[in-house]
Amino acid sequence: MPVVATNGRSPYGGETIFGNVMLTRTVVAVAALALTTLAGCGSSSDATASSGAPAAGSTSTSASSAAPAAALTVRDPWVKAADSGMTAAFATLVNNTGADVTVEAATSPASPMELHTMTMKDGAMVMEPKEGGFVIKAGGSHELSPGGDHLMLMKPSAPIKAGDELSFTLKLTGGGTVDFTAVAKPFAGAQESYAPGHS
Amino acid sequence: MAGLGTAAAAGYLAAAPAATPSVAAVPVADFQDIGTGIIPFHGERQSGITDEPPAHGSFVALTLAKGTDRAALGRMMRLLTDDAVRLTRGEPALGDTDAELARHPARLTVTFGFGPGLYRAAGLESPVADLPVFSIDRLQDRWSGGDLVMQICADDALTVTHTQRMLIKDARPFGAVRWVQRGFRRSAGVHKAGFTQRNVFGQLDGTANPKDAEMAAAVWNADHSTQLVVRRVRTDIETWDLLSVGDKENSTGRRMESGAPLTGEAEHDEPDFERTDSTGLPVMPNFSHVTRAHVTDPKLKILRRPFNYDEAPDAQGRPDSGLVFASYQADIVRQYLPIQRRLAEKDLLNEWTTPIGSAVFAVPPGCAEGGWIGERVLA
Amino acid sequence: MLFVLVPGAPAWAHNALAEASPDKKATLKEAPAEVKLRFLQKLDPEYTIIAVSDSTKRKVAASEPKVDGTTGVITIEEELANGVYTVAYQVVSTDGHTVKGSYEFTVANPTATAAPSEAPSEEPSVAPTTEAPSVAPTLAEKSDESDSSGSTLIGIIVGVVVAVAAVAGFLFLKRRKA
Repeated sequence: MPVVATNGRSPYGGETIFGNVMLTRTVVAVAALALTTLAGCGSSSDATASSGAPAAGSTSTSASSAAPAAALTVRDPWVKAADSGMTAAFATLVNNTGADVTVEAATSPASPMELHTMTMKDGAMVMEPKEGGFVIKAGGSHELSPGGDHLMLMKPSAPIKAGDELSFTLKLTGGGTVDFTAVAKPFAGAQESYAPGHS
Repeated sequence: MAGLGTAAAAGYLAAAPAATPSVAAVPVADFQDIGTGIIPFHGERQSGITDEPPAHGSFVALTLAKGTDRAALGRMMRLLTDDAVRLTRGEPALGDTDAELARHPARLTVTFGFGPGLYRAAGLESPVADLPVFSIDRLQDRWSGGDLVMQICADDALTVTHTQRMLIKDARPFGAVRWVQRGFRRSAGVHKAGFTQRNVFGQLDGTANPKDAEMAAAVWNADHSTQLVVRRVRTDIETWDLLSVGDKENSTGRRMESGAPLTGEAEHDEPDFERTDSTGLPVMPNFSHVTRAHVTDPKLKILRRPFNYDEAPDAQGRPDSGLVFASYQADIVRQYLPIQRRLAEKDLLNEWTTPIGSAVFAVPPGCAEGGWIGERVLA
Repeated sequence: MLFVLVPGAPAWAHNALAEASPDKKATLKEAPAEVKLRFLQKLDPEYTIIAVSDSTKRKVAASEPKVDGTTGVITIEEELANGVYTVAYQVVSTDGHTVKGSYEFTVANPTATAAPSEAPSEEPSVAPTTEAPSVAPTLAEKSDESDSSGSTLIGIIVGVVVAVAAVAGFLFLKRRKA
């Protein structure tokens, strides 16, 4: 599987930026490099900050010919490795626009997908499909994390091994899409009851 | 009485204002921020090698699981590199369950080394081979060998702990922990930068390290790789304690206090092995550690980057202490082996030291942003 | 578990020279071909140095020491002219203590040509000192040997005396104030 050049800093990148219209790989790589330069000289908090607003700015500049704006940034995506059965993908979704963005579906070649949320039922956290999708407020961000909202891989076609890279597409309300690549990590935290009560 | 103490302290300070520990209380305003220090991870060469060693170090060696092939190794190294990139920046690793522990990198470095077994698993020829067993060795399996090593260094022990936890979690699908050796040096702020650390014997340890311009020839290959030797050396402090200062100095050939060779005045004076005393005896005994280990050609020098260890003493109070000896050199066979052969053959210091662990690793070049350590070997 | 302290040889027993050939202060009619030193304890060949130098401090050509048990021998590889020579040794006791010492002998071969240079000096530069405590009394006799442990010992004694004096003085001052 090729390493997609959607990352600025690490093998999996802290940052994957796509607009409503697919950018070319080159443009993304350039944008990511610009980000990198910013992040590289600062402390950790600077790096986080620069991957937010200024990053989006630099992206839209270099991408302006191709896309109106980078609507949604997928930050730090990863998938929980699983030998068999269901698993989930996580990331931080950052809305770079002045209007709310709704993720209404996700797809992946690796598995049928659902958007899930966790709710308390009869004293236990259970997951269920997220009605209406994930809404990311204007200029805000939305955390997909173990124990919280997540992208569910319902039936992976093959074992997802640690270090595998999986590609995903988020479908936004209004027709836009955001592609990203996530790495599979061995993870045992935030135990959730995936199977029960779910049909 | 208080007056006496103050007067004495004042006199002491006046006599040696620069390098001595101050008796006066340090004002809180003098707090120095060590926690936010960052050493860049990316570059042609891996970090954690020629940078000033921080206070804490941990060496984690793994044994690869059966069937871990070249592709799996690539996946492993991408994952581990990603963790290292984030953590050395003071950012949590992906899926970091204790993200707040990542906020103080404290000059964190993570350095990866590949043992002979990793190359075998990848179907490649290894640039390093296990050291021969020396007559002085009493090697234990629990401290020896290893297919992958991760050297984790920082000025903060909790940062090392968290980093080690995150890396091991991600490495687990690919192998088992073979050994972990943690060690320490003087903490940041105790000495000025560039000091030579003391080991648990009280000796200045690392005086002969290559300096400045010598460093490149000693440590780096043209492709920016290097090689690492990790040896666990147990020290017999019980019997060392019985020696006089003069005896201790004869064993190393250096003064205990200054680290100066017995023929010199200052730590970095070149030892004069030809000098004899009034009776015709060599001032630097031919069996002393420095006499045996000494090399002048930078291409033959090794970069010692050791950490002390000090585990719990036994019921009789006898220490379990020593040195996690680590040295970097461009070529173990060219540089390390001749020195170690000479030391194994004759070195009075051997009377109080016993190598109990030994491992060798090839240290691949660093990587650029977006790359991963080992990509040129495994990709 | 029971630990018994066995009286006898003290744990700090250091090695010491027991017998030398040529003997200390000996005047030889013939230049010696070797120097043979016997010690109280077994020698470690790795940690045994024996050197001979002439009165100008020039090192006499000699072999590496050959060690057999408690004895170390060097073969002198040049013809010694008449004059005073210093034998110096450095050995390591089993406990790791380094023992240094030296003594002189004289070569006075009536048939030989002129002696090298200066007149024989009386004593080695290091002042003769008390031997290490463990040395057998028979060896302490006429000791013109200088042992490095002696000077160390003196250092320690002086240090202790100074420290005791300091504490005493301090207590005295304190009492006077009170």
